[in-house]
Amino acid sequence: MRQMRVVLGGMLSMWGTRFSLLCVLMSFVVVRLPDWPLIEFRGTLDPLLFPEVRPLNSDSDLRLGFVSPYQKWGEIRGEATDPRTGQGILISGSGRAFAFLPRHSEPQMELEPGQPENFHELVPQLERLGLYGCSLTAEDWRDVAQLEKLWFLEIGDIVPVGADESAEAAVAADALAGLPDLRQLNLTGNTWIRLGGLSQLESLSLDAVRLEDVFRGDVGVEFPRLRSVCLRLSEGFAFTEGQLAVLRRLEAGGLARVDLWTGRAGQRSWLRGKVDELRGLLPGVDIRSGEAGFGMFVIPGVMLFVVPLIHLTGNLLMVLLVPQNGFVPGFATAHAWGLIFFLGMAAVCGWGISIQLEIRWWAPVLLSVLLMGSFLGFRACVIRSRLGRMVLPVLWIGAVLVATGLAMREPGLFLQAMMGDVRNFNVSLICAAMLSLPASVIACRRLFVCASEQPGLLRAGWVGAGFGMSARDTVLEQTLATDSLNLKPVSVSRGDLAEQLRAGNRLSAKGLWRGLGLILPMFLFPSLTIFLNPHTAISGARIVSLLASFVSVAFLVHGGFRGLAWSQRGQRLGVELLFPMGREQFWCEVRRAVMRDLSWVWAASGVCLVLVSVMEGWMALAPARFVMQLLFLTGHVLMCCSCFVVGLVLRPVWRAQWYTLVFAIEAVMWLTLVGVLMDTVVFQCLSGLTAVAGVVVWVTLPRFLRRLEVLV
Amino acid sequence: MSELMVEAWGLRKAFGDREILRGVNLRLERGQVTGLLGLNAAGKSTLIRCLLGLLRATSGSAQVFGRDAWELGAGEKSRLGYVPQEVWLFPTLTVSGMVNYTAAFYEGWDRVFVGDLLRRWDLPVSKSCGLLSPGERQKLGIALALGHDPELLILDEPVASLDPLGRRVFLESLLELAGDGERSILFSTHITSDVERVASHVALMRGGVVEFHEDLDGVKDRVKRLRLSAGAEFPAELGLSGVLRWEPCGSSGVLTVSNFTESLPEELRLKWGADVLVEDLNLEEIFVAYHEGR
Repeated sequence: MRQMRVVLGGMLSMWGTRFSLLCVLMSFVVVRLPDWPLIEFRGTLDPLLFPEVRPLNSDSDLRLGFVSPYQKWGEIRGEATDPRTGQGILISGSGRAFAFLPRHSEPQMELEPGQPENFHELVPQLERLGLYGCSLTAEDWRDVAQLEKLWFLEIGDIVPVGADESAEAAVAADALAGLPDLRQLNLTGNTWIRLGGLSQLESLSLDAVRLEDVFRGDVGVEFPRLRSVCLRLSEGFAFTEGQLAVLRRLEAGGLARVDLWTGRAGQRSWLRGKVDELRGLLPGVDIRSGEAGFGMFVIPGVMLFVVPLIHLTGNLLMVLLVPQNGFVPGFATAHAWGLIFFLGMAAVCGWGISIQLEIRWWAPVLLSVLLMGSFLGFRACVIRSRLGRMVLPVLWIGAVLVATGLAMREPGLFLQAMMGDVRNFNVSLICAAMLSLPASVIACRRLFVCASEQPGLLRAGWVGAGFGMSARDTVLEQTLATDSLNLKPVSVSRGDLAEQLRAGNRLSAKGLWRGLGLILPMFLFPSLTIFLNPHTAISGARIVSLLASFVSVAFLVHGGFRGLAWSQRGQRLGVELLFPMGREQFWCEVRRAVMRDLSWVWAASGVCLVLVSVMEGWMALAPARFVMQLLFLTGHVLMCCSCFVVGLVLRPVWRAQWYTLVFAIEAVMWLTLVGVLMDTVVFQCLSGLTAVAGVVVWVTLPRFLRRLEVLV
Repeated sequence: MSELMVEAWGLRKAFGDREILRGVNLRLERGQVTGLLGLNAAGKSTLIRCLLGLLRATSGSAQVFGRDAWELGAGEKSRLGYVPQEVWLFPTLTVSGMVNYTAAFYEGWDRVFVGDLLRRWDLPVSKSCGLLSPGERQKLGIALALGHDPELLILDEPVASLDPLGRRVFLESLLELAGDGERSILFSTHITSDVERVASHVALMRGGVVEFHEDLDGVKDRVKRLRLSAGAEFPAELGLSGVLRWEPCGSSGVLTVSNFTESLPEELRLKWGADVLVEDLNLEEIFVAYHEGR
C-alpha cells in the first residue's frame, strides 16, 4: 500500500502537470466530439453538382448518443422566421434551398443578401430540401407536395405521428408522387415510407433491406427514369433472391449504376467483397463501392487524443534512460509505473479508435510505435543543436500536413492505408516500426551518455506535454540571446501580493507567446487541410467556426504553458515562502495569482466556445447541454490548475494524498469517457460532478498545501 | 542577557526512516556571526531549513525571534534574509528586474545599498538572469537577501560558487553588516578560513547534532596540539579525557585535545617525564581533528 502511495505520488508530482495539460486538451476534444461526425460518406450524390449538401449520416451521429427531440413540421415551420433559431433550422438562399438540420451543427448554406428571409416566401422557390428528425402530419405532407420546383429531397429520421403507419405511408407516397420535378431522393434510414409514381426520379438512396418493400409494383411504370441506386448495407447483410430479383427488374427498366456503402469505415474490405459479388450477379450494371472519407475533425481529434499520449509515453521512456535511475531510489519505479499507465491509456485510446473506425487492430499499434520511435529518434538526434531543435517542429508540422492533406485529398486511399488494405504500405509500416523504436532507444542511450556529462542537455531534454515544447525551448533561448526582453523593466506596485508573485512569470510569458506562435501552425495547418477536400464547401461561417475552435485550443495550450511556468517556480519555493506573509496567505496568493494568470485564457476560450456554439447552432439546440459543456471544461481547468500548484510542492516529496485520488479518478473517468464515447446522460452527470469536484479542489487547495508541507 | 534570535532545542528531523537531525541544540544571539561547519550530509541545510520554517521538525522546537519557526508571520519574515544553496532566478528577468521583483515584497528596501553591492560585484543590471554564471547568480542571491536590511541573515553555503575576489567582497559586506552588532548571521560553509575571518562564533555539526557552538577564540583556546617527547615509549592510550587525536610513535607522539588547560602540559610532564610543545590550531585543523580523531 505504501509502495502504491509512493508510486502514485511520484506520478502526480512528476507527470501531474503534463497529464493536466493532456486533460485540458482532451476536455476540448470531448466537449466538441459529440457533434463531430467520425466518418462522412458520399453516396450517389455528385459533389460537383451538390457541393453544399451533405447526405444523411445517421450512424455516426447516433453512435455518439446525440438524438435531437422530434418536433412537428408545423411547429418547426412556425418558428422558422429567424433563420438562426427554431430548433436548428438553417435557411439558405444561395441554391434557393433550405434545410432542416436539427442534428447537424454546421450551416450548410448561407442566406444571401436580398433573399427573402421569411420562410413562407421561400417555400414556393424551393429546389432542394432536407428533412431530419421531425414528425410530419398529413397536412405537412401536402405542404411538401406543393414544392413544385423541388428536385432534390433527403428524408431522414422522419417518424409517423399517428397510429396508422400504413395510412401515413400512403399519404407520404402520394405527396412524393406529387412532386413534378423530383429527380434525386435519399430515403436512407427510413423504414416506413413507400414510393410509387415517381416519373422523374433518376437517383434513389435507400437501405438495401428495403428493396423489396419499396419496389413492389412495376418499376418500369413507377420509376421509368431511375438510373442510379445507392444501397446502404447493414452489417452481415446478404442479398436475398427477392432483392436480386428487384435489382434485375430495375436493370431491365434501365438501371445503369448501383453504389454500395455501409456507413462504417471498418467494413470496407467486406464491402469490396459485396461489390464483387454483385458484379457477378448483375454483369450489366455498373456496381461501385461508395466512396468514403474522414470527417473533417477526425484527424485533429485523433491527433489530440493519441499524439499527446504518445508524446508523454516517449518522454517517460526518455526519462527512464536517464542515469539517475541507477542511484535515485524510487525514481525508476515511479516512472516505470507512469510508463505503464500512459502506454495503457494510449492502448485504450488506440483500441477505442480502432473499434470505432473498425480498422485492423495492429494498424494503430504499429503507427503508435512508429510515431513514438520517430519522435524519440528525431529528438535524440537534434537535441544537441539549436538548428535541429528549430527544425524538429517544422518536420512534425510537415509530416502532419502531408498526412492530413492526403487524408483530405485522397480519402479513399488514405482510409485504405490506415485500415491495412494497402500491402506496400503495410510492409513499409512494419519495417519502419520495427526499425524506429530500437534505433531511437539506441540514439537516446547515446544521448544520455553525453547528457550525464552536460547537465544543460538534461535540462533541454526536460520537456512538457506537446511537441511545441521543443519550439518553446528554442524560442526562449533565442529570446535570451537577443536580450530583447531585457529592455523592459519590471514594474511592480506594492500591496497586491498575487500581482507581485505573477510579475516573476510575466516576462516569461512573452517568450511563451512566441513559442505559441510556432505551435499554432501545428494545429492550424491540419485544420486548414479540410479545404483540400473537394467535397467540402468553403463558407465564411465555417472558416470563422474553425478559427474560433483553433484559437480556443491555442489559448488552452497557452494556459498549459502558464501552468508549467508556475510549476518550474517550485525551485524558488524556499525563498518565496520567506517573503513577508503568512504561510496560508502565501498559498492563497499563489492560488489567486494562478487564477489571474489563467482568467483571460478562460475568458477567451469561453468566448470562442460561445462563438462556435452560436455559429453551429448549439445554443439553439440544447442550452442545457452547452452549460454542461462549460461546466465540464471549467471543472477540468480548475482541477488541472490545482495539479499545477500541487506539482509545484510535491516535486521533491512524492507523497500521495487525496489529490492523488482525484488524479486517479480523473484518469479512470477519461478512460470511461473514451469507452462509452460520450453517452449524453453520462456526459452530463460527469460534467456536473467534474465542476463540483473542480470547485472543491480549488477552494481547499491552500489548506491542503499547508497540510502537505507538514509531511515533508 | 542578549536577545535570542534563533533557538533550537532537541530538534529532530527524519525523512522516512532516515534521521538527519538527532537532537540539535543551538542558540544564536543578537550580534553573533556564526559559521556552521560540517561534512557533506551532516545536516547543515536541513537544520537551516527547519530553522526557517521551510521544513517541519519531526520533534523538538525551533524558534526564530521567539516564535515557532513553522508559524512565522509577515513581521518575522520581513526581518529574515535567506540565501539558499542553489539560487534559482527567473531566467527571463534582468538583474534589475529581479531586484525590482524582490523589492516589491519588502518595505524599506535599500536600493542604494543593493545597487552599490551590485556595482562592487560587477553584476550588470541589464543582463538576463538566465545568462548569469553560477557565481553571479550566487552574488545576486546574496544581494537580494540583504536588500531589506534583515536582522537575521541565514546563508546556506553562500560562497561555494564565488571566486576568491567575490568571496572577499562578500565577506567584507558581511563584516560591514555585522559591524554594528545589531544583526545576527548564520552561514554554513566548508571553507574554514572564511569562518575564521568573519565569524564570532563557530558551530560544528557532526552526525546530526551540533558538536559545539561557541565563540571562535574559545574554540582555539580549547583545542590544542601537543607534541610530546620522552625517554620511554608512549602507550597506545594516554588515559586522558578530551583527546581528539593521539598519534604515538615510539618515544614521541602528537596529542590533540579538545579541553586544553594551562595545567595540562605540566601534568603530562610529571606523568610521562616528557617535554611538551604546545601548538595553536587553525579552524581547519580543528575541523579535521574532530572528524578524523574520533
